[in-house]
This record gives sequence, C-alpha cells and structure tokens, in this order.
Amino acid sequence: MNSKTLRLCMAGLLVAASFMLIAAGGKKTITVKGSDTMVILAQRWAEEYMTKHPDIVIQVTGGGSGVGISALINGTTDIADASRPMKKSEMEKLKLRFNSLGSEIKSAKDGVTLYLNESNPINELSIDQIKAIYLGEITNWKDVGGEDAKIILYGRENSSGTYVYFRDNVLDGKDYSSLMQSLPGTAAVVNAVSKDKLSIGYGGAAYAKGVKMLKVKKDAGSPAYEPTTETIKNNTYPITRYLYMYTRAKPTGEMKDYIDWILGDEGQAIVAKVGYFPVK
Amino acid sequence: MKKAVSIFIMILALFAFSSAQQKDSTKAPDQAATSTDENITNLKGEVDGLNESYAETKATVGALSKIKVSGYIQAQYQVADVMNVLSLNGFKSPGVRQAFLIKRGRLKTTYDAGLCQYVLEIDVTQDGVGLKDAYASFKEPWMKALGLTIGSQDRPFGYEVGYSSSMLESPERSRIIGNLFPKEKDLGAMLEFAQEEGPLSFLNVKAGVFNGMTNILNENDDNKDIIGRLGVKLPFQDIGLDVDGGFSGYSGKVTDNDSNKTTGGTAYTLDAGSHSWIAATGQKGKTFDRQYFGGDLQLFYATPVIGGTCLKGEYIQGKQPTTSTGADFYNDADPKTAAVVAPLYNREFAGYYVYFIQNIDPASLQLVVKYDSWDPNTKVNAADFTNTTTTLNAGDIAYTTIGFGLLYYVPWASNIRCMLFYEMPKNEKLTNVTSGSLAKYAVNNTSGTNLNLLTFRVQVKF
Repeated sequence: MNSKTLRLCMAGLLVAASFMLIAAGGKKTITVKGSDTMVILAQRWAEEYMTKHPDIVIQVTGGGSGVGISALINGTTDIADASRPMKKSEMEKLKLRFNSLGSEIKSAKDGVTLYLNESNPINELSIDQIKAIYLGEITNWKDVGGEDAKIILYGRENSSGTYVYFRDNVLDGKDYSSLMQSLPGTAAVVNAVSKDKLSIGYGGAAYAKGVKMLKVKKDAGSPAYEPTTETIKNNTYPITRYLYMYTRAKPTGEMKDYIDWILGDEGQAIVAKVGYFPVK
Repeated sequence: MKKAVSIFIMILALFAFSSAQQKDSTKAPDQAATSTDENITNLKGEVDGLNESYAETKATVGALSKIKVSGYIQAQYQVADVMNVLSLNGFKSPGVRQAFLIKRGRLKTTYDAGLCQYVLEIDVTQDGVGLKDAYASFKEPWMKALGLTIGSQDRPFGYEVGYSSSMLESPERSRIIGNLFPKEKDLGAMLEFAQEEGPLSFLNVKAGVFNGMTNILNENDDNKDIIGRLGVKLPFQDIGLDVDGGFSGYSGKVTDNDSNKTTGGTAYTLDAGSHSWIAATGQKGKTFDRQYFGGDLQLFYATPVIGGTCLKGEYIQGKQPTTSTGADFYNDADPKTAAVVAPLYNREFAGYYVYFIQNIDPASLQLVVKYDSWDPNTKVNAADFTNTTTTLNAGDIAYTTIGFGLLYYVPWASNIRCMLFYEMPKNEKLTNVTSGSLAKYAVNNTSGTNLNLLTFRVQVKF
C-alpha cells in the first residue's frame, strides 16, 4: 500500500466516523434495563419525566439486575438498574469493552422484605432463622414457633439482583434450598405467598400488598424491625440495601439531566410514593 | 408452566365431571359426592406427579446450565505493501501479497460448578486444529480466593500474553510477546490468589510451574520453568479512573541439544568488546538461563461524552537462549531423536509496547494507536554490524512497529466486531553494512524490508 492509498484510507475512515457521530448525535432516547425490583419505580420516573420533557423518550424494561448489567456491557442499554452492586467480574467486562469502570448512582434505598401469608401466626424471625429456612435446614414452621406444617419457599430466579443480594447477605453466599420455587418477578412471589398460607417469600418492600411483612431481628437477642422509612434510613432494619443505576461513563447531556432529576426532590418523592425509601 | 398445566388438568377434570353429571343426572346425591371426592383425589395425585416431574426437569436443567459453550471466528483479508510479507501456514509466501484467512476459529466448552471448572478450547483454522486451553481448576471452599489450575493455560506473565485474542485491539500481540511466549499457552500447574470481595480484592497473585515449551509437548529436558505475576487493581470510581498493573518474573532453563558430533554442541555468547559471537563447543546437554522480568501498567479513564480512554503498556527485559536467526526461545529439539542441528545463542533482550485506545461510544467505535519495540540483543546497536568483521546476524536486529486501527462494534449485533488496522514495522538501519546477507537492512535500503500490512478483520463471537 503506497502512502497515497493509506492517506485515502485514513480519510475515508475519518469521514465514516464523523457521519456516525452526527447520526448518533440526533438521538434523544434513553434506554433503561434491569432490576425487576426497580421496574415499577423506573417506569414511574420515566412517565413523569417524559410528561415534563416531551422531547425525551425513555424506554424501560425489566429482566433482572444481571440482565441489565449484561445489556450495559453489550452496549444495548444506556442505564442498567440493579438491586445489587455491580460485581468485580462485571466491571472487568465493562472495562474491556468500554475502557471504563462505569458510573454508579445510588438512586433509592430498599429493605429486602420477607413476606408471609396474612394467616401465618409468625410475626418475627431472626436473620439466622431466615437463613436456616432458605438453606433448607429448617423445613417446618413449628421449629420457629409456628404450626406443625411444612414451609413452602418462594424466591427469585438467579438473574435477579434480589436473589443475589439475599444469597450473599442473608445466606452468606451459600446455595438456596433445592425446594425453593423460583418465580419470575417479585409480584409473582407476593401473589404466591398471598395464596399459600404455609409459604414465605422475599422481595422489595414496595410490593408487599396483600401479604404480611415479617419483622426481622439482627440476632436472637435483638429487637425486631419492620422495613419502614425510619428503620431503613437509620439502618436498624437488618436487610437494607441501595438500589443502583449504572451507566458506562459519567452521565452527560440528556442522561445527566434525567439522573439529576431522579436524585432531586421530584424523583425522590416518586421513590417514596412507589414504596421505597429516598437516598437523602 | 407447572401452574398452567395444573389449571389445564383441573379444567379438563371439571369439564369431564360436568359432562358426567349431565349424562347421569339420575344418580343419587351420595354417589355424586363420592365421585367428586375421587376426582379431587385423582387430580391431587396427578398434580403431585407433575410436581415430581417438574422437580426432576429442574434438576436436569440446573445441571445442564453448568455447561457453557462459547467461541469466536476471526475472518480477515490482508494486504501487504510488497510480496513475501504475508505469513500463510506458518511461512512467508513469496508469491502472495494479499489473501483471505481464518485467523482464529475458537470453540470453548466450560463446565462451571462454582468451585471447580473444566475448560477445553480448540482453535480451528485453514491450517488445522490446535489445542488452546485444556485445564481443570479448583478453588478452596472457605475464602474462595485461592485456586489451583492444572493443564494447558495462559502463562501468568504480564498483561498481553493472557489478554483474550477476541478483545485484542490490534490484529496480533506485540512482537516481544510473540517472541517470548509463542502460542501463549503452556502446560503446567498454577496457584492464584484473587478475592472477589474483601480487603485484598485489589490484589491478584499468580505463580506456577510449567514445562516451558508451549503447550505442544516438545519438552527436551527435565527442567521446569517458574512463572509468576503480582498484580493490583486500583479503581477510583468516583473520578472515573482505574489503575491496574503488575510485576512479573520468569525463571527457566533451556538445554542445548545441538547434535553436531564434530563440535559436541555449540553455544555462543557475545563478546561485548568486539561485538562478535564467541563459540564454545562441547555444550550439548548443558543448560542456559531463560529469564524475563517485566512490569505492566493499564490506565482507564471514563472520558465524558466521547467514551472511555485507555493507555496501557508493558516493558520486559531478560535473557533469551535462541538460535542464530531466531527470536523465540530455543526449542528446536525433537524429544524422540534429540536431532537438533542448531547451535544455541545466548542473547539479552529488551522490549515494550504501548497502546492508546479512545472509545467513541456514540458511534460504537474505538480508535487505536499502538507502538512496540523489540531489541533481541541489547549489547549491540546498528553501528556494530559491518560487512565482514562481525558474526552478528539477522537475529540481532531490533524492530519497532507503529500501527493505527479502527474498531467498529456493530450496534445492532453486539457480538460482531470489525477491525481495520495498518501496521508499519521498521528494522533498525545498519549504518555500516553495504553488502552481504544483511544488506537489505542497510540504512540506504528503503524497500528490501518493507513489512507494512493492512488487515481487515470481522469477528463474530458467541
């Protein structure tokens, strides 16, 4: 290849790159994908924001935190919602493709809530008891002060951030009991628990409608707390977590405006309305 | 699914029950009640059966989900400036200036059971089938931080040798890596310490014992090589910066297998004063040091608006026993016959590479500039080569390469990557050579050593 051909080749590449930049510059769509726990919250944010900014389109889909983060790594979403922090291995993948660790935004707080059927006489359990139940070491309600009946376990699928958070923080990283029935969304867990009087399930606090919220004790000697604004804010509820939004780089332009709005008074008011807890 | 089946069965049962009632409306109420109880019992039995079947299916699917199959194909078209540059089937092809090639065709099977892994990867190209990764790895169950890997695997040295070819921002690894670590893989056992979370999660330590002869079993002696790397990852997420790096060492031995009966095997060392190779005979069976030391650094910065920026590089120096004109380590032995005709040359080398990569995320592009340097013999420079008074040869000549590339990640198919890369290697110009076998490297020769190469590559990964 002579130098003239090389120059032509390079010029062609630059022109192509410029066209792509110009074409990409016209977009005003923000895609959000990820946590099922956050999907209602994300939809409310999007609806409210689009009403006030008709020139912006925000597309929200669920699928689970892992799915959202994979989409961020593959470049198929702008924002990944996650109910757990991004793993080191996921950050490495993002870095390999985008030369960036990504930007983490704590957008809300949540108490991972244990749901019981409203007819269940149990009101409180310690973390150790919950752990033993979900590991399959305790299988009968009578072992935790209830009636003599088999415990039916409901949980989330392994692409769920809540699944991962609960496993890592309540089960100390151990595997769930093989008897746990995995359901494809927190709403499905709540629905199952509301119909099955011997069951227990877990998920975001905002979904706890038609079920009993279990009070949780840090250990056998501690007081039991229900997830409320107060107990989440002062971290006395033992299974408190942040809900995250991840972007590939520090947000700019329309995306920055949107995220600033979420973190502002209006966005955080929606957090409380949906049933989660503001970060401030 | 289970629920849907249950509901379907219940509807069927109710329908059947209702039909039966209509047909036999003359039955006594007691008989009807008994029939209902039987139906419910039957239904319960069927649902229990389905539950068992579901549990079995779930267990089977759970076991299958531990097996992952992945791979990629790199198909490319290359054009050299001149003939005799393109390397086809491992050799330069004098009559070819441009060609289509399957550079890599990888197929990888992984069985991941959490604390243990089985990995088998093959490479299928027009040249045939080659073995890449083939290892078993285990992690201790307590901290899940310490692991052992045995088999054919990446050598734990530096950065680029273990960097996946599917992610590489240039068509090939740098000249220094290709020479020091041909085929990237070796057979051995390696310990690794890496915490996913915790106070030492910034640290990565790898050390292993290897045959030292690549993963083709060409072992010609009983010496094993020790390779290790101490690495750190320091993320400063608040400011969008990540600093990674490490120090590596390689300590091995190479045996002189020169089977020349007259000399009893020759090994050469360089006389620093006269810049000439001094031969020592009777060296067959003696071992020589193969030692490398290196440092690598990678900086990643999340540049606003445009996308991430990366600057990464690696420097290595050490001792490399080679052949007279070869650059990679001395491994010409045929273990069955020990028939080697090449004497051994002890060289001290140094080299490095630097990448600058700029993402242009809105356009799914990456711009790449790469520079690498390889000096196979640091004790001589270009002026030490002369027409007649030196025994220095082509294996002592240094090279630098600059390359420019553009990577395009197809936005509607995240597994496709296109690469356009132009690289311009240059040898050091021999100022005092005008004739002889090294004349093409002379300072006034502008065409004899033109190695420029344009690569257009499409990669599909799954």
